[in-house]
This record gives sequence, C-alpha cells and structure tokens, in this order.
Amino acid sequence: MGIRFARVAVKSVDTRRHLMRAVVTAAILAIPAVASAQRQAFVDAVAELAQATEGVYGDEGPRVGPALDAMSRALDTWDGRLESLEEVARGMPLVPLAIYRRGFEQLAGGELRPAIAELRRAASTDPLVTGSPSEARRVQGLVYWAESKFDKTIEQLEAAIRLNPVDERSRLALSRVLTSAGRDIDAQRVLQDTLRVIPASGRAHWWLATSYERVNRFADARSEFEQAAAHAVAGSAPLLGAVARLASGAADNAGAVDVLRRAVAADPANAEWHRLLAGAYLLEDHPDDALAEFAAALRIDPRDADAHLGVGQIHLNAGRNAEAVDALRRAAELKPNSIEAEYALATALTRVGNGREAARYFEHVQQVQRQRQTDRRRQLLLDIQREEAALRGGSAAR
Amino acid sequence: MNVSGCRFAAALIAVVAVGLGEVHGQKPAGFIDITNGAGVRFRHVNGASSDKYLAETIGSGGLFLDFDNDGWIDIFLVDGGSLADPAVARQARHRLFKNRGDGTFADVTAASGIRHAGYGMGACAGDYDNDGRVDLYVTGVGANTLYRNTGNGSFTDVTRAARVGASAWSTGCAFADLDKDGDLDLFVANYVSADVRHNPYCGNARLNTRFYCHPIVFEPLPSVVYRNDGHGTFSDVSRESGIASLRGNGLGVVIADYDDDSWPDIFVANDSVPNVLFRRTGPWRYEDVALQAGVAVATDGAARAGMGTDAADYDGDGRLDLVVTNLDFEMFSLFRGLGGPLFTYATPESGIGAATLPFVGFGTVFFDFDNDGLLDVAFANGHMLDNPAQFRAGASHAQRKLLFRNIGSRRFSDVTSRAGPGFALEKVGRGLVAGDIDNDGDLDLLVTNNGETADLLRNDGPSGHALVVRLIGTQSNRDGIGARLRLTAGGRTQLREVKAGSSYLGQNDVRQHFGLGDATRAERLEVRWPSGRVDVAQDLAGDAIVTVREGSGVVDRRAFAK
Repeated sequence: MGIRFARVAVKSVDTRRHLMRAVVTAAILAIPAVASAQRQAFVDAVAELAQATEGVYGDEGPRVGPALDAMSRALDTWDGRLESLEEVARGMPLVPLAIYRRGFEQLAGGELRPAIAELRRAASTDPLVTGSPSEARRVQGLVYWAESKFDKTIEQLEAAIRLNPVDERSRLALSRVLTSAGRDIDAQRVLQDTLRVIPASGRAHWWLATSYERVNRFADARSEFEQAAAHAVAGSAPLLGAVARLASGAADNAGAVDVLRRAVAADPANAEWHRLLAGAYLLEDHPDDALAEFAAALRIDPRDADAHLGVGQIHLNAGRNAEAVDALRRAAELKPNSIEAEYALATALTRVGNGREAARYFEHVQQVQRQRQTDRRRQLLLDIQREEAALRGGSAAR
Repeated sequence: MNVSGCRFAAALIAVVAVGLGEVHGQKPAGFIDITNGAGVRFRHVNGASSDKYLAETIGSGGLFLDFDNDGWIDIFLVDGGSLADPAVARQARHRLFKNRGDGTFADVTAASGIRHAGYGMGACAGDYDNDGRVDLYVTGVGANTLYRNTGNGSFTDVTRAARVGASAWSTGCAFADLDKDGDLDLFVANYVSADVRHNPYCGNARLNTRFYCHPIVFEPLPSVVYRNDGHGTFSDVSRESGIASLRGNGLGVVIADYDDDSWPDIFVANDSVPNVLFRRTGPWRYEDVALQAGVAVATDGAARAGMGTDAADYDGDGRLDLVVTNLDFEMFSLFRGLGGPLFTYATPESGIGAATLPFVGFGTVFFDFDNDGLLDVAFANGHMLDNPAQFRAGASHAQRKLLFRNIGSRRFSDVTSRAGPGFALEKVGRGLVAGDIDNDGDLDLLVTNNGETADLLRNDGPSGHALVVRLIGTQSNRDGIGARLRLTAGGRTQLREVKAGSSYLGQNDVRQHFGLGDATRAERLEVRWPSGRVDVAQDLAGDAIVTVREGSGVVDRRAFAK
C-alpha cells in the first residue's frame, strides 16, 4: 500500500505520545477492517474505510491504509455483493472529505478497482498521511482541546490552516472547537471560508447547516442541508429528512413533500421516510398518496403502530369507519397508552355505534390529557422558578 | 424605471391578474381599508410593558350592532388598558361609532355613557330586556359591565343591579335564550387566574429575553352562565347547571344548536386545553360532550390553542359545522358536523390546513363574501408574542389576514392574495366580525388589532344577488337570537342560525345575509323561532333587506343601497 503514517514535526511530548497511541490504535482498529475484507464482508470493510477517512480526531486516519490494503487483497474474490454504499450508511450520511469523494463515489458505483486506485491517490495527498507540516499543528491543537485549552487549540488549528489552506480536516476541526466553545458565529465563518477554499467540502455544508439551525437561521440551514445531501455519497436520506423538517418548520409543506419523496427514493427500505411522507401528503390533502406510503411502511414493518394509526385516521376521515376501527385497534394494541391511537379508535367506535367500548377509551384519553397538562404546567413552573432565581442572582433553583 | 414605465408595468400586472382570475373562473375580491376615511379613529391601548402581563397580548375585540335602530349597523370597539402603568391605563377608552349611513361614522362615545374600566377584553350585544333596543356587555380583566340601552343614544351601567359583574378575567361572551323562555341569558367565558401582583417571569434571564407566559402556567377558570330572571336581573346558575364544574382557558364562544334538538348548546374554544361543548341535558343542566363529539381536540388527541370560533353550515348539508383558530404550526381546526352530536376533523380535507400553518389565528367568521351562496371563511391573525422571532426564526408579530373562498365539495381555496388591499395589511389581528355597513348587500369586515388601529374593510368585490334578513321576535327574544333560517334560492337551501357572540371577543351583525348568486329571488324563506313558531315566506325578491316579525312574516322590505 505504501501509505506512511504522518511524520510530523512533533515538538510536544503529549503530541508524540498521542501519535504513538494512534499508531498502536490503528493497528488494532485495522484488524476488523482487514478481517471483514478477507471474509468478503465488503460492506463492513467499506464502513471501516469510511470511518477511517473521518479523521476528525487524529488517531483514526491510519486506518485508511490497512482497510484499503485488505480490500485490495480481497479483490480477486470480489463477487459484486457490494451493490450500494446505502447499506453502509443507511442511518448515517456518508459525506467524505472532499479529497476522498470521487473514490467513494466509485465505490458506490461498484467500480472497486478504480475506486481503490482513486482512494490511494487521494490518500497520497492527505496531510494526515503525507506528513504535511499542518498535521503536527492539527494534532497539537487536538491535544490541547482534549485538555480544554481552547485558546491554544484555536491557535494551533489556525496555524495548521495557514500552513496548508486546503487542509479540510484542520478547518473542520477548528469549526468544531469554536462551536464547542459556544462561538457559533466564528465557527460559521470558518466553515464559510472552508467552502470558499474547498467548494466540494460536503462536510462543511453539513456542519454549517447544523450550526445555522442552532442559531435559528432556518432558511440558510435548509439550503446547506440540501448542499450536504448533494455531496453525500450514500445515506443522503437523513440529510433530506433534515431539509424536510426545516421545510415543515417554514410551513412549506409542498417543499417537504418534494424532499421526502427524494428521501424515500434514497432509502426506500426505511419505514420512517414513508411515514413522514405520508404525513406530509395528509397535510396536502392527498389521502390516497398518504395511504400508499403508510402501506409501504407496513410492508417493511407490519408492526409499525404509527403506520396503522395513519391508515386508520385516513379511513376515519373518509367515513370508512369499520376499516378505521380495524386499523386503529391494531395501532392501539401495538402502541399501548398512545392517546393518539386511543382517541381515534374511540371516535371510530362511536361512529360504528359501539359507544360502550368508546367510552372506555375516551375516559383513558381524558386521564392522560389531564396528566400531561399537569406535567407540562409543573415543568413550566419549574422553568419559571429557575429563571426567577437567576434573575435574583441566586442559584438555589438551578 | 421612469413614471410612465411604472404605470405601464402596473397596467400589465393588472391585465395579467385579471386574466388569471378569468382563467380560473374566480371573481377577484376587493376589501378596501376605509378606516380613516370612515372616521373610525381608534388605536388599541394594550399597555405593553417589560413586565409582559399576559393580558397585554390577548385583547381586544369589537362588534357590529345597531344601537340606535336606524337600520345602519354601528361599531363598538373594546379598548385594553395597562396593568403596569396607571397613566397609560387612563388613555384607554372604549369607542362607540354611529353609522351615519353615508359611509362615515361618528364617534359618539362621550354621549353614550359608556365608560372604560379595568382592562377591556371583549363584548357581546343583545336586547336582554326585550325593549327593542340592543344592550351591551363588555368583558375585561377583573370587571365586566352590562350597559342597558336607554334609547336616546346612551347607555346606563346596570351591572350591579343586573348582578352580572363577574370579577374574573373574562373574555368571550354570548347572549342566547338558553331556556327558551323568551329572554336572553348570558354566557361568559373566563380565561385564567393571573395575579398582577405576582406576574411570573417567563423567558431566559441570562439572555434577558422575556416572553409572555404560556397560559397553562396560570390556573384555569370556569365559565359563568347567567339566567335572565326577566326583571332586569340575572342569576348566576353556573354551579347548578354544571358549567362551573369545568375549568378551561376560555376565549371564543359560540352558542348554537349543534345537535339539532332545538336547544342551544355552548361551544367554548379553550387555549391549550381541550375545547368544551356544553350540551343541554335538562332544564339548566349541561354536560361537556366535546371529546365524544370530536371537537375537543385535533385528530392526534391533543388539545390545540383554541382562540376564536364560529359555527355555520359551510357545506350545505343542513348541519352546523365549527371552525376554531389556533396557534401557528397547529393548523386551524375545522370540524364538520356529521349529524347528531358528532363532528369530524375536516381541516386537511378542506384545504385550510397547510395554508394556516404559519399563522396564529384569532378572529374568524363564516360569511359569503362573494354572494355566491356558499359560506367562505376569513381569519384575523397576529402572534401572541411580541418578540416571536427570538422564539422561532421567521415568525412575525404582525401577520396578514386570510380569506378562503368556498369552492364547493367541502373545499376552500386561499384567495387572500386577490382579496384586495385590506387583506394585505399586516397587523397583530385579534377580533374579526362581519356585517353590511353600507346596506349594499355584501358583507364588510371589522378587524381589531392589538396595540394598533382597527381596520374597517369595505367589500367592493363584484358579487351576485343577496338577501339580508332582520328578525323581530315577539314571543321569542326580540332579536331572534337562536332562530334558524332556511332560505332556498336557485334550488339551493342555505342554513343560518342567529348568534349574539362569536369569533374572538366579538359579534357579527345579527341580520342574516344570504348570497343568492345569479338568482334574483328566493323561492322560500323559513324562520324557526326559539319559541318553536315557524314563519315561512315564499318568492322573495332579492337585493333587499327584509324584516320578518315573529308570527307576522315579512313586514318590511328595503332595497339595497347601491
């Protein structure tokens, strides 16, 4: 493979110790990736590879080499079972560093040999691997961060960026450190600069999105999540889900429908996207489309109580009360104490003339409502007590 | 662009807009803000303070009434006050505007004897003593007032003698003949128990960001119902009737016969707790059937922030439906009557769901703005918080109103953008009531705004024929409150029920308006009075205001002022 561990100009004892630990850790962590590749568990091997390139914290980087080596050795027995990286990143978006993106795209397309060649080429320019002078600064900065020395951390990371302006990892690390220090605006500025220097940084888009959302810049967050999703090699559905959530928050239900359709297309085996899309369809008064999506969710998981509830509510609204009772009974059985299901079931039972059973559910719904109201009030009153104590300068209520 | 260029562009836009309207077969509506020109000079004093007393953001309302019986509806506007600053409180003054009949109004407050007290909230009007003159009840924080209309343009405070001066924080109110004995009883919704001496701090002290508290922080209050004893006095029968057994954060009230059993039922929109529907179970006995009826909560079984409300048969099936305004991201609630005491949550199917998501709704009214014979619905909106952007980015305190046109088949279409400049105004909307201020046969709107001027919106949109019906009860209460009208025109039968109190802290013109569309005559008008008597008139010419006297039928007809 020929990938060297970073030979950086290490000045700090802590940093040296850290890098030594990284080497040892790499050897240990590479074992599962190698083993996965050798037993043809390519999905797992690629997952290891994806994690290896994360490199947010320095000791993960060395895993790139062993994982690639293992995959390369296993090529002869490659049988094409790696159909898509979607499996790898179903619940977690795979938004690689810009330099690795093309390689991962090839992996996603099943072009294994070109992918490994491309990943090797990219690794050969990775500061983590090449021993770029910026890497020592980055590692030093991360050590300081571990010691909660924020000013020194920032100083080192800024130095790393000055030494190597296209060191995406250092830029991302700096933004994360600033965010952790509550300096959201500064973190955003770093990420914006990163995108100016490295426009293909999907991670910068992603982190910028989360940062914008944290400070209530929802429209900007939505735009950045869209960009991040476009840069995701796999697992774009959660990012699209974030876009849908922000669209709903902006009362753009048509936009939510559109983006949830894309999420379903990106991850059709996930019932959650079908359910969310169904809910958005209902808001748009497209009950037939909603019913189809709830049905799709139930094909994936027949015990999905929320999907049964959705089906029941659609039947109820359409006056198909008997069908509604069936679906809502199932929902109530699968999700005991769900007042949403019980209320809908009680309503349906009332309409089919089963008032006695309906009364039982209504009573329980009322009990739960009262309890929730009491709990909510108690929580609000606690919040008030805490703030009033803060106002008085006291800390007793904290 | 130079001036001529601007004119050209404006003309082009106008042509395109008209063209689009024609393509879609929809008549453009035009509500024009005539507030200043009409002389309705009123700026609501909300007393907004850094203490963020909840009352500052709740009020206030207003109503249409014909206090001088001249056939032109007048305006009463409730003013707020201040809980923080007595000097500001002194600036608050309710206003009574007399309709001169020429498109202008005269401020006759000083001569009316109506005085401001406490912190005003809402009002309702009804002729409780059946003397032919409409009386006025004003709610507020800590003090309600009943004004008896003395007939010479002035009112007398008879609260103490009538025994209707509830001392809680009262909001919506409605007159109705609940026991059908021929005189109007009074229902008053109460909100919460908020002690101004211990105003909680809601917000973030560290960030020095204070919000108006959520109402659930405070103790909810029971509503009050007063039985009219018939001698100028009322009795509080809240406890024995079962009304007092339920506590809620009551705001909007609308009384109507929802289950069609000929007895009035009482619906109260509650803020953040389940709505209540008091159904009569016997003489002065009520039980809450809202949950079973399907109007307490939305489909998820969770309560919404109920604000304003109205009841009408919007889908023409002969059953009353309900609309309730809610907070943003809750959608406004439309409950379609299924018959008997059952309703279905019809918000998504109606087309008002997604369109109301961004709005905090207050006043609402079912009304046929384009006289096509189908009831449309309008909403006045404005955020509860005066700093909502700190809570949710993009949220605004002032919001525009919404107008939904009934397009049949139980669906509405959002026509706000074509509703004229009056609907483009972004204000902190609260009350919204409808009435024909110029007696021209189409319904105009009055909007109250928190801390701002009120809006009087004249309906200048092209419209079809119409008929307005004024009732005079003889055996029943004088204004025919609670009467049911069924008018058949062009083969379609429309239902109305006369209400004295609805929307948010207000009341519509009690005359009943029917759009006739292309029909110039109504084939049949049936009035079922609270007394049980039924008057029927056949073949009524449209484009007029007709007066129906109980037992005598149509006794007067006046052509619309065009």
